[in-house]
Amino acid sequence: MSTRIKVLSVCGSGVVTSHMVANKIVDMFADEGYDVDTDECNPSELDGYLSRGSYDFIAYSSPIGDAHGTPAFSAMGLITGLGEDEFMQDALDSLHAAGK
Amino acid sequence: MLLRKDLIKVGQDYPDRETALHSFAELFVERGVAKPSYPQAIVDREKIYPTGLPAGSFDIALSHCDSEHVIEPAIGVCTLVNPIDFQMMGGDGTAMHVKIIFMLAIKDPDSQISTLQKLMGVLQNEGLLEEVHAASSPEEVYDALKPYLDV
Repeated sequence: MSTRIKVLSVCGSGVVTSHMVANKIVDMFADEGYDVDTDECNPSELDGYLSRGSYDFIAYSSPIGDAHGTPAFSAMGLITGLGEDEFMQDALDSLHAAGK
Repeated sequence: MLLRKDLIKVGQDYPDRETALHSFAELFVERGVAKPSYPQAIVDREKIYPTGLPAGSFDIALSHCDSEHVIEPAIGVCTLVNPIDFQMMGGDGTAMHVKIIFMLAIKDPDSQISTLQKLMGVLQNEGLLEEVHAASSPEEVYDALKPYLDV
């Protein structure tokens, strides 16, 4: 039984990089037993997305403002391949801390 | 297949980032895959949201812009003789010395996601990027990348 989580992926256009990151996260977290729902947006849409929905964490490849308490991690490591493990560990730690 | 042989340029030399992006993006307009607004949109977006990425022994850029400037999806590649200064994606201002520009014209990311995923793998394949940079013709670049981008 996999655990459902929701992830918000943020990049400059809210289109290309965030989709690449989101799909990578879906794959990576499936291996860890999570069923991931993703939304993608750009930094200026962030507040709107956070007010409409609740996310387990945010993965960003463009600087973001106030995440209103949602854990947020830089997704640069997922794009370059340098630092994938750190991203996974930080995100997993925050999921575990939230009991997921 | 989004990668197009007629959107590949090798051994280019540009004085600066803006000239490089604008000139290369013009090719997308000439080929009919992007609207006349595309080159400036690419230049403007790179200023606000840089797309430089470290890729082993040299850096690459993954330039793109909003889909409103795109007519049909395509990927182009431009290799540079002399590295051009970009900033690293993520916005901390780290200088990147880019030797390959990957330029994307993306219309609907959901339908092109498998190619985007494969492109992400290419960006992490140092040997392949070196092969692309060493290529002396668009055909060589295309043949090197094609097996990795075919979906």
